[in-house]
Amino acid sequence: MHDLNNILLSKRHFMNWSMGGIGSTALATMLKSDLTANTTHFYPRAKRAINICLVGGLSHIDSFDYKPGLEKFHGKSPPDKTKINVFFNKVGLIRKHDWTFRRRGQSGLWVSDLFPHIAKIADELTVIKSMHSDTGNHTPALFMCNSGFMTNGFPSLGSWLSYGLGNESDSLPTFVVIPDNRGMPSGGADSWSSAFLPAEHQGITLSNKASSTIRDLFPDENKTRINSESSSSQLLKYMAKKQIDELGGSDPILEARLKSYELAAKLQTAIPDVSNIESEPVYIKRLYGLGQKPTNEFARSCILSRRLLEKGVRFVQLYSGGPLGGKPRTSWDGHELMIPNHEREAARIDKPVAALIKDLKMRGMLEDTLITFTTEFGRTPFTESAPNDLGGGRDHNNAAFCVWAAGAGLRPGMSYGSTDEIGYAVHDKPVSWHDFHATLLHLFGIDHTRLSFYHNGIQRRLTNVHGNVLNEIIA
Amino acid sequence: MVSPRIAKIAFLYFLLPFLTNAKAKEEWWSLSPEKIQETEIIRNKSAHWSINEIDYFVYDKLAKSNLSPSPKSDPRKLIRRVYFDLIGLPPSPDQVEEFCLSPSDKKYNKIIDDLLSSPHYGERWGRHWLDVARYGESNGFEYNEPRNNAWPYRDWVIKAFNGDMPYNEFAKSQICGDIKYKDRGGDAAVGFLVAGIHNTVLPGKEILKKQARADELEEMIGAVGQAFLGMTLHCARCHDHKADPISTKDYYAFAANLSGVYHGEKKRLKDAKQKIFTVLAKDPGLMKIHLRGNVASLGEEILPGSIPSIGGKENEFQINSDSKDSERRSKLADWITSERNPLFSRVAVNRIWAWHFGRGIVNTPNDFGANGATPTHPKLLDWLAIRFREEGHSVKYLHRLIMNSATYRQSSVTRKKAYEVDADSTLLWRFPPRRIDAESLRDSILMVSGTLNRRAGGPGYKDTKEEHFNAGRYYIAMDPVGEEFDRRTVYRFSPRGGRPSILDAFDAPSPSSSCPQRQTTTTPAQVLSLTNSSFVLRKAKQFSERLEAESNFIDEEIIDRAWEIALNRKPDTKEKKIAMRIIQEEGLMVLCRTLFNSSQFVLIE
Repeated sequence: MHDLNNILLSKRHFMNWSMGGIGSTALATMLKSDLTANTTHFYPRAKRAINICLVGGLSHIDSFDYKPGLEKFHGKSPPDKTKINVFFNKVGLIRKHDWTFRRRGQSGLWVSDLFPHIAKIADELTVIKSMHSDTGNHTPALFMCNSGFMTNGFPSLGSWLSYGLGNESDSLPTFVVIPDNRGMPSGGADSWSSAFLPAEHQGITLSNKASSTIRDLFPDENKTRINSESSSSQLLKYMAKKQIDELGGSDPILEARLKSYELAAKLQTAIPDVSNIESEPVYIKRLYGLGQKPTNEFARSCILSRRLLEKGVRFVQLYSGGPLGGKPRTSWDGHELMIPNHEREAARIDKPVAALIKDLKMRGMLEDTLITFTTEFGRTPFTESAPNDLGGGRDHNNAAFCVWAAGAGLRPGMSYGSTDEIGYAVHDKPVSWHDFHATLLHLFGIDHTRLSFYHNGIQRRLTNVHGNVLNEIIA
Repeated sequence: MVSPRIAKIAFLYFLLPFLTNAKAKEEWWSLSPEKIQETEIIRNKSAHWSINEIDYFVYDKLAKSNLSPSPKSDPRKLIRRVYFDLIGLPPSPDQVEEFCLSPSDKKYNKIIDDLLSSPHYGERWGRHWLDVARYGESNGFEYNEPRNNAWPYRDWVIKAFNGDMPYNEFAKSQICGDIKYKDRGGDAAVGFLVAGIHNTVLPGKEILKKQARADELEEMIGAVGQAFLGMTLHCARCHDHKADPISTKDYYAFAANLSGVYHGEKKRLKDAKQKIFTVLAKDPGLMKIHLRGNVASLGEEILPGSIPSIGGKENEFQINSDSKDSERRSKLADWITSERNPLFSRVAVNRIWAWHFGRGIVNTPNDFGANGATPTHPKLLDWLAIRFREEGHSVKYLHRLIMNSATYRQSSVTRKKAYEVDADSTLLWRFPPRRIDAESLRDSILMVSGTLNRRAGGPGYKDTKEEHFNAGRYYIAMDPVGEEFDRRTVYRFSPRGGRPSILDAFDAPSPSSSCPQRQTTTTPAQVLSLTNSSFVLRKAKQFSERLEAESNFIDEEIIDRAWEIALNRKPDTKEKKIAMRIIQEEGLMVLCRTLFNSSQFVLIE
C-alpha cells in the first residue's frame, strides 16, 4: 500500500521543494514533466489559496448572519433550554446583535458594522451561513476546521493540497503558515502538521516579525549562505556520486539528497526576498494599513501572503488570534464581553483582509486564487450568564456559524444556507467541515473521494467518509 | 427508482458487511492459523547460497520471479549495518578493523551477541516500540499538561528488550501489568494504555462529557488493536467494520474490557514519594452499544469479551456486567496472547522483520486486515511465527535467526535487471539500503563528536521551553548546551509540541498516533538542519577538537581519522585532496560538518 502512495506522489511531484516519498522509479519523470494540469481530476478553478483562520469563534450573529429575531426576543429566555448543549452550560437571556447590520453593495449581502472595510467588498464574498461542527471545544474544533478530524494526528488542508498538487515553486515550500504575533493557536504546530503524510507536506512556519524567516535558514547573524562552489560542497557531491556508483549507478534517496542541497541554497535567497515588504509601493502599504495601528501586524501578514502566492506558494494560512484566554483575551473568544473583544480583534484584520482582496483583484489574481475566512465555531444568541441575566458575553456555538470565501470559481455576492430565527442552529442546507473541504478541493480540481493516503489500515481522506460539494456556490 | 444515497447505504451497511465478513471469516489469510509443511521448508534447501531456513523461503520467491540473490556484503559495510540495526550507533574504528581483518562467521555471531547484550540495544529497539505505542509525554490539546512521570514506561520498554522478556509477557504486562506483574514494574508497563493523547478540557454538560470519554476509549482500543492484533478495531465504533469481520458488538465487548482504564498518576511502589503516570482503574460500569457511535442513543448491554473472528469465542470470558476492571483486563490479555489467536505472533514477527529490513513481510504492520497489504512471503511469515512461539517468544532469538541468514548478509548493490523487476527490493534480491532515522542520526553525531553521554534511564532531558498562555501550554524547541542534553535521543522528554529541527526534518513521527514504520523523506529542511542548526555546528566543532587531540594536529592524520570515525573507512585520494583544501579554505569544523552531511553518514547499506 505504501508503494501505491509512492506512485501517486511521484506523479504529482516534479519541481519539488522537497523530495519525499519518491518511489525509486520516479525521479526521472519527476524532474522533467509538468503534471499539475493533467493530474487533477477535473479542470481546476483555483491554483492557490489563502486561509484566514479566526481562533476562538467569531460571532456569526454579530457579523454576517443578520437575525431580526434577536431584536424581537432580546432579553427573553431561549425556547426549549433542554435541547441546548453549550460548552460551559450557562444559558442566559437572548441578546440582540451588538453591531448594526446593513445591506451592502450591489448584492445586498448583510454585513454588520463590525467589519466596515470587508463590508465594502461584500460583492466579492460567498457567505455560508449554515456551518456546523461536531464539537464546541476549542482545540478539537480548530483541528476539525483544519483537518476534518477532532484530534491531533491528521493532516490539514494545506498538507493535503501539497500532497495532491505538488509544488509550483522550486525555491519555496508549498504550504506556509503565519501565526499571530501574540502566539500560537491552541494545539500549536499540530494544526498544520502533515501528520501521517510525508514530512515534506507540513506547513512551514514563517514569522511575520520584521525579518521573516524560517528555522535554520542561516547559521549565524551574517546569513552565511550555502555556496555550491565551495570545496565542502564539492566534497559532498563527490562522495554522493561515489556511493551512487558503488551502489550500481542509481539510488533515489542519494539523488534526491543532492538535489535538496541545491533547493536549500535557493531557499536562502527566496525567503529574504519574499519577506522584503518594505519594497512595496506606498499606496499598497496604505491600502493594507501597514505601519498603522492596529492593523500593522495583520497588514504585514496579508502582504507577505500575497507575495508568497506570487512566487508560487500554493497555500498560506494566516492566524488571527493567538492563545486562548487572557485578560484581555487574545483571540475571538468573547465569553465575558463581546463588544470590546470582537471590536479589538476586528480592528486588527478588517482593513488588511479587505485590502488583500482588492489587491488580488487589481492584479488579476483573484480569478484563480481562493480566499477563505474561517473560524472554530460561532457564538450563542443568548448570553453566557445566569438563567435570568442578560450578560455581555456569548458562549461557543458549534450548532451554527458563518464562514466566507472569495475568488476562484465561486459565485460572488451570495449567501448560502440559513439558521433558525435566532441563529442558534442551522435551519436550511447544513454545511459540515467535510462539505466545505470537499468544495475547496473541488475548486482545486480534486475529487475529495479520490485524494487519499493509506495510514494504519485506512485509506484516509481529508473528508473522512463524508463530504458533499456545494455546487450552488460554484459559478 | 432507488436513490443513489439509499443504494449506497444499503450497500455499505447490509451488502458489503455480508460480502466481506463472509469472505474474511473463511478465507482471510491472517485470521486462519499458521500452517506450514516441513516439505515446503526443505524444498529449496539445495540452493548453495542459503544459510538458514529464511533463505529457503526467500530464494524460492526470487526463483519464481527469475531473480537471484546478491552475494555477501562487503564486511566493512556489513558491520556498520549490524551496529546501526541493533544499537543505532556506528562501530568504532577498532571494532571495524578487528572484524575486517578476518570476517569469519564466528566473529560475526560474536558481534551480534555482544550487541544484543549491550544496554544500547534496548534503547534502539525500545524506540521502535515507543513509535507503535504512540508514546508522548504530554496530554495534547489545549492544556497539553506535561507528563513528567511517564518516563518509567519508556524505561520499562527498554529494560524489557534488554532482558529479552518473552513477547507474550511483554504484551500482557502492557495490558494488565498493574494487576498481574505489580512487583515487576507492572504500573510502568501499563503506561502503554494511557500513552496517547488525552483531552483534559472538559465540557460542562454531562452528555458532552460522556462523548469525550467515548473518544478516549476509542483511542485506547485503537492502540491495543493495532499494536497486538494488527487490526483496526476502532473502525467498528459506529458501524460494523467495512473490511474486516469485526462487528459493532465486538467493538463494545472489547471496549468493556478497557472501560475501567483512566489516565492519571499514582504513587510508585518502590518509592512512595515518587509518582508514576499510569492507569488509574475505576469501576468500569455497564457497557451498552452506542448506536452509530452516539452516546445519547444507547442499544443493548454488552458483556466484556473477545472477538470471535480473531480466535475468540462467544462469551468466552464468562464474566458479568458487574465484574471488576482487573478481571476484565486479565481476561483480555490472556485471550490476546493465547495460541488460539492467529494474529498475535504473526504481527510481532512482522514488526521485528520490518525493523531489520525497513519493510515488513506485510508492509502494513499495524493492519493485517483486508485493507492492509498481503504478505510478500506468507509461508516465511508463518514459519517465523511458529518458530517465535516455540522459542518462548524470544525477540533476541529472532534477531539471531534473521541476522544469521544469507538474506540479511547480502550486499546492497543494485543489479539492473533485478532493479527493473523489483525496484523496492520487496523480494529481497539485495539488502535494501536505507537512510538512518532521526534518532540514530542525532545519536551518531553525538558519538562521533565524542560527546555522547551514555547515562541510561530516569527522567528525560528537556530541550523544550514550556510557555504558558493562560490555560494553554506550548512547548518551544530549544538547543540547551551541556552533558545532560547529550544523552541518547530516546531519553528526550517528548511532549506533544516543539522539537529540535533534526527530529522534525528527519521524519521522527508525531506521537499523536501509532507509527508502525518510519517514512523517509528528503527535504531542504534536512539540509538546513544539518548545515545551520546550532546543535550540528556545535557538534562539528567538538568533533574537530576531538580529531585534533587524537591526531597530534597533523592534517593528514586528522583526515584519515575523521573518515574512520565517521564513516568506518579510509578516505580515497581525491577525498583527501578536497579535504585538505577544505581545512585550508573553510576550516576543520566545516570538514566535520560536511562529513555529517555526507551520503555515507546517513545512508546505511
